[in-house]
Amino acid sequence: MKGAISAVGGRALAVAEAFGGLTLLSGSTLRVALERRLPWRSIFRALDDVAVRSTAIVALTASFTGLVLSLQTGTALARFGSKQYTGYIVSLAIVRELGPVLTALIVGGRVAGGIAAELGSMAVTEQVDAIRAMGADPIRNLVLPRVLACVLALPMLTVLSDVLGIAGGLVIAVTQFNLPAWYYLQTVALGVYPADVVSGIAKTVFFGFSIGVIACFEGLRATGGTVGVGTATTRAVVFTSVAVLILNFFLTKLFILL
Amino acid sequence: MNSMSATVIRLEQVSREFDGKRVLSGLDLDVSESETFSILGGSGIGKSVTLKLLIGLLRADQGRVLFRGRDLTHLKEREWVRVRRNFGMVFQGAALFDSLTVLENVAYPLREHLRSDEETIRRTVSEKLALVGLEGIEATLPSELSGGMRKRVAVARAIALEPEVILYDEPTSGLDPSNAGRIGDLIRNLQQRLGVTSIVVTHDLGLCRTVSDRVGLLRDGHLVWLGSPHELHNSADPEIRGFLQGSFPDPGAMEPS
Repeated sequence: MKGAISAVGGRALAVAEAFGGLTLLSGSTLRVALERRLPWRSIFRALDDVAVRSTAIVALTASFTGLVLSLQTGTALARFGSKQYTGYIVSLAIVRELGPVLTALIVGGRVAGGIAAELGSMAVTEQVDAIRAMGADPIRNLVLPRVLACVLALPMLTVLSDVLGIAGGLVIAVTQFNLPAWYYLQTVALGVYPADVVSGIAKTVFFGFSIGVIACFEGLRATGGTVGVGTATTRAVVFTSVAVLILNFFLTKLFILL
Repeated sequence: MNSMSATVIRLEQVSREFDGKRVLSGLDLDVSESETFSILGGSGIGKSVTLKLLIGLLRADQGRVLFRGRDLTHLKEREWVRVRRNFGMVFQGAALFDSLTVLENVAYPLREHLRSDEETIRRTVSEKLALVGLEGIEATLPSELSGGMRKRVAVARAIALEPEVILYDEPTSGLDPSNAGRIGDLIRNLQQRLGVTSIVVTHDLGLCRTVSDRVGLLRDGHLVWLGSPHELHNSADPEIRGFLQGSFPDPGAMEPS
């Protein structure tokens, strides 16, 4: 019994410690982001990794989500003789939820693992200490570029995702449900308000920040050689996914209130 | 060696624990201008920790850390940044950035602290590489170098900003005897040519004899013996004999890396 209590207590302490560490890292990252000299070289390299190299996987995910969503929605609506509303529902679902969240989950999984593995290896081979020993700031040189890249890349990738998702829906609407393309596009244009698009994209700024910060945090606190790097990578992927899903609920609630 | 010269680095009664295990307790250390001081001891007894305390990579639980009489104990991380410019550190595993070329590795501190043009940076990097006996490897990646060469690149990077103090963490570990000997010569050579103060942490007796002006034996968290390499070799002290003959007891504490 005593063992169980102390195990629960130890776990709670570890969670509290992680939240504290994350908050501190977020604060320091925001602070260095406001400095005049930014490490542009590293920022562009990180952007290439996060944005450019995620384009293909995001495009693939978005197109197939659009296809499948249109297929399911159209089939269901056809039972009530309302398949003409397919465009409304597909585009709203994609723009408000599926585009932002799936993009964040896919990019998060890909990027968080990579970042945590890279920074984790640097931490366990004393490269992070070497940066500090040279009078440089690892937060400015390592964390900021990656977090900034995530924050900038996710909204852009989400726009791509929205467009391709709706296009995927169009293909199915035209070929499977015999809806004219102009009609599908008209329902999209009438059904989706600018606020829907904006709220979807605004969420991804927060997703991007949390993906970057969590991945860097897990990487930097890796200890104990290769095993430590593996653990850090797994934790980064799991925690960023969980963070995206939980944040999504609260941000959605917030944006609906606004 | 020269007890009249100014003290550059001083540790006063420094203690440090890791997870309840006391690694350093009441460590006193004085290192004078331009001397090479070796801290000798088995593995896992706080040698690396001592070096990291000196440049604020780790903080002492108790005691004071002084550099040229200035108390660094309570500096904030941001204030440390300026202090660390006076130090160059050569890490045990070299700690080169594997995604960057040798040129970018050695240029790293230069780009961080100086606003030099590309030409000056390249020239400085070549100079520093020449000092460690490596020329023309600027475009190479660290993974393509041998262990000894990586160590020497790490030395070049540590001296890039012409620091007053160079800290060597186990500079010969993992090297074959001839490469280890070359590193020893390099440390001696740099001390003579640049007049820097050096602190070498090692368990390599050969290296200790070649490079040191003074040696301190670290055990139970503090220096239990202090003297010249010659005195070390001829000492009748049981602690010293124990270490030299390899019968030093296992400290039972792991040194955090």
